[in-house]
Amino acid sequence: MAVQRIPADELCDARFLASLEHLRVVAKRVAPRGRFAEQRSRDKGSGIEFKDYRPYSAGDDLRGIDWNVYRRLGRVFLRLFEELEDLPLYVLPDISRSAYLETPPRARAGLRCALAMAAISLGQHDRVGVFPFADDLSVLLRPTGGKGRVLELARRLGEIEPGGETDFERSLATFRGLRLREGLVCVVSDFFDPRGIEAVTSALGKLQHRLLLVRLVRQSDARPELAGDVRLVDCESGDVSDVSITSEVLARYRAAYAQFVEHLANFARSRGAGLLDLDVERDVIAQLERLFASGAYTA
Amino acid sequence: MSLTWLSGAVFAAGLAALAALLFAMQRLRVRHRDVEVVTTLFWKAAVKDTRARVFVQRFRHPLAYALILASASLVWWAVAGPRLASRSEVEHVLVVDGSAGMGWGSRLRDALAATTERARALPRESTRVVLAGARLETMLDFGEELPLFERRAAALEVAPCPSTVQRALLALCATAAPSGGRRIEIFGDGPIDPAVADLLPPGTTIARAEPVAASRAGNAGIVSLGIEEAASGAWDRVDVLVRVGGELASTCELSLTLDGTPLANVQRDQGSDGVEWLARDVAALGGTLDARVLGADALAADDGATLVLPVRPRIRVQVGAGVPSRVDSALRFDPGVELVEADPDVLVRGAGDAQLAGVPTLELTDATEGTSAFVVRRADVDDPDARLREAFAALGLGEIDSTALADQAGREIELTLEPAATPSISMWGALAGPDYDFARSRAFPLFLARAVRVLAGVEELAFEAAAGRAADVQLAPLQGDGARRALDSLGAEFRWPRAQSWSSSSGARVQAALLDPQATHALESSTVPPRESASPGASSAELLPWIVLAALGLLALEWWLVRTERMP
Repeated sequence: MAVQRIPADELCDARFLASLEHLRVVAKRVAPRGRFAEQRSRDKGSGIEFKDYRPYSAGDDLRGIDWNVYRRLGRVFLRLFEELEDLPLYVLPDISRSAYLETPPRARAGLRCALAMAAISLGQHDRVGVFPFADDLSVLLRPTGGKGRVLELARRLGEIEPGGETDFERSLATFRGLRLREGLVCVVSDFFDPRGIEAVTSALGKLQHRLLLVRLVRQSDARPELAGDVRLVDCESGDVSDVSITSEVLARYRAAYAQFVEHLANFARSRGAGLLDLDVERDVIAQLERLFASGAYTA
Repeated sequence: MSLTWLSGAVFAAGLAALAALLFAMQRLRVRHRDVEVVTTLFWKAAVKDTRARVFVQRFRHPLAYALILASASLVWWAVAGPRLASRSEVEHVLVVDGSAGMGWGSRLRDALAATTERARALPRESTRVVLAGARLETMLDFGEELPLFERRAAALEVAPCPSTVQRALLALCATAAPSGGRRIEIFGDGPIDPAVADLLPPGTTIARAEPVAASRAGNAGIVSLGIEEAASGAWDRVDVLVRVGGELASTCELSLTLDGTPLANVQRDQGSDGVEWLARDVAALGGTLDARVLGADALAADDGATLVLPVRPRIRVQVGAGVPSRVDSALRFDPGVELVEADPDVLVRGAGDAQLAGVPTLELTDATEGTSAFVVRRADVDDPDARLREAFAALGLGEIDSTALADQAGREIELTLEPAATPSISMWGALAGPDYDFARSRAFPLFLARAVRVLAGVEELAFEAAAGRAADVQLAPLQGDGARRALDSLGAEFRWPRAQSWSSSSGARVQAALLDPQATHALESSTVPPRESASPGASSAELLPWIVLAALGLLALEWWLVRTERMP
C-alpha cells in the first residue's frame, strides 16, 4: 500500500492553535546555562526569587550587595536570585511506515501532537527542536525559539516523507550524538520496534533528558479485527506470519500486547517520565488536555 | 435399501475416492488472506506454539474433515438415487414364456402386455423380467426403466423350442433368494413340474400370473417324426413315420420329401392321437427327409420337421475255411452281410482258422471241458451281470431251446463274459453241426445275424432329433466318446435347445425338429397354486428429502461450530 505524507493544513489551523493557548509546560527545574525564559533554573541571576548569598568579589554588580548583612556582619555579601531560563523541548515524532499505514494514519495524530507540544513550548519562550525518526533520526528544526515559528514548523511537518522501519536504538543514538542541552524529550510513537519493546526502553533509558512518551494507539491494537486464515505482512520489515486465528490465538495476542504496554508503563514509572496513550482516532487536543491536568504539565 | 443409478461397488468406490480427495485437501495448505499490519510482533508471540496449517503436515481439524466428508457422502448418496422399500426388499422376477407354444395367435403379445403392466406396478430396483425362450434372456434388469423393456419386447418372436419355463425356474433358483425373499411370476403356459417347488430355496415363491388365454382352434402340427428298420427287411432302407396332431390334423395335407424329391408309397392312417403318414423303404443313404404341413394354420412353428437319415452299408464278413457250411449259408442269406475274402468288418472262423488281429471275431470253438457254450468278450466288463443280460438280449439267445441243447450236450449251456481288447463271441462249433437241433432252429440264423451286428457295432435304426429331447449319440457325437448319449457341458444328457440345423463337432449335420405336442396341441399348463397372492409392489419411499435435510443440518452444525470458534 502506498503511503502519503500528512499535509500541513491537516496538522494546523487557527482553532487548533487557539486551543493550545491555555496549556503550559512547566519544568521543576531546568538545566543551567539556558536562555532567559520563564522556567526556573539551577542558574543564579537576575530573577525575582531569592536563592542564596555569596561573598562579593571584584567586578560584581554593586546593586546586588545586601547592605543589611554588611551592616550586621561588616562583610560584603551579594544576594543571589534564581535565574529564569528556558526548558528546551525536543520533539521526536515517529514517521516510520507503520505510522502511515492505517486510516486515519497514526502519523496524523502524532504530528498534530508534536506540533501542539512545540507550539505550547514556543508560546512560553522555550526553545524547541523537532527530530523526526524512523530507521534513523533527522533534524527538522534545530532547537530554536519564537512564537512565530509555529506555522513554519507546521509547514515543515507537512513536508515530512514517510520513513521506513522503526529503529529506536539507532535513532536515539543519533539524537544523543547531537549533545543538546538537557531538556524535555517528547517521543511520539507507537513504539512498535521490530527488535521489541526491550530495545526501545533500553535506548530511551540512555537519554539524559526528561522524557514524555506519547504512545499512539488505536482500539484495534488491543482487539484486532481479524478472523480466519490470514497471512500477516509486517508493513515495515516485510516479515510474514501465517496465522489461523482462533480464540486461543487471540488470547495469546492480547497477552503479548498487554505485556508490551505494561513494560512501557513500568519504564516510564521507573524513569519518572510522562506517558500518554493518544488514541489516534479521537481528538488530539482533548487528550492532551488530560495530560495538562490543571493547564500545565510538569516535566 | 437400494440405489437407482449406481451399483453398490461403484457407490463404495466413489465414496472412498471422495474420502481420499477430501483428506488430501484437508492436508493442503490453506490459502491465506494477505493482511498488512503495523507490526507482527505480537502475532509471532501468539502463534509461537500454534502454527498455522501448512502443506501435508499434521492433520489439524478432524472435526472439519468429518463434517465435510459427511456432507460429501450425503451428496454422493443423493447422486446414487437411493430408494427405500417401504415394506421389504422382495425381489420380483417376471418370467415370460417365449417358447413355440406362445406362438398361438397373440399369446406372446398378450403375455408381454401383461408383463409390462405388472412390472409397472412393481418397484423398478427390485424387479427383473426374464424371457424363457431357447435360452434364458434378461429383458429388463434391476433398476432399468420400463421403456427399455417395451423397446426390447417390440421385435420379440417366439423361439422354435419347447417350453423352457421350468428350466428357467431351476436356473433362477440356483442363486439364493435375497433376505426379503424372491417372488417369481410366470407369464405363459409353460408346464411346471410341482416337484420343482421342492427345489426352491427358502423365501422363494412361484405364481402364475393371469393365465394367457390359449385358443386351441386352427392348428395342425408335426408332433412326431421317426424312422425304424424297414419292415420289408431291406438292410439299407428305413420306414419313416410322421405323426401330425392338432385340430386340423385330420384335414391337413403333408409334404414328405427326401432331398427335395417327394416320397412315393406314403400311407396315411388315422391314429389315436393324430394322423400318421408312413413312408416305407426309404433309402438310408444320409439324405435329408423333410416333412411339412401344407397350408396356413394358427401355429407355424410346428408345421415343418426334418430328419437326416443314416447311412447303412452292409457288414463285410470273412468266413474261415473251417467254418461249418450251415454257418456260411446262413450268413450268405443275411441282407445286411456281404461276404468278402479280405479286409472284413467281422471275421467268422472255425477252430483251426487263423485269427486277424484287431478284427472282431465270431469263433466256433471246440466243446472242451470247462468251456462255456457261449462266451462274449468285450473291453467293458465293469458290470458283469448287466453286461450279460445285455448280451443275452442282443444275441437273441432267448430264442434258443437251451434245455434241449443241454440234454443233447450232456452238460449245461452257459453264457459267460470275459474281458478282451478286441470284441469277440465264441460258440461251440458243434452246435452248428448235425448233432444238435440248434442249427436247424429259427434261432440259429437270428443268433448269427445278431452276433455279426453286435460285433460290427451296428445299432438299431430308431431315433428322433427333437428340440428339448435327449440326443442320440449316433446323430450327435458332440462329446465324441462313443458313449450311449452325448453330454452337454454340465455332464447332463444333451438336448437340442431349439429346432434348427445343428453341426456337431465332427462336422455332422443334424436337423432337430420341434416335435412338441405341448405346443402343437396348446395343452393347458399344469397349475401352480401361488403360495402368495399377487399384490401390487411395495411402494418405494424417496430418501432424497431426508438426505437434503441431513445435509442442511450438517451445514448448520458447521456454521455453529465456526461461529463459536470450535472449528476454524
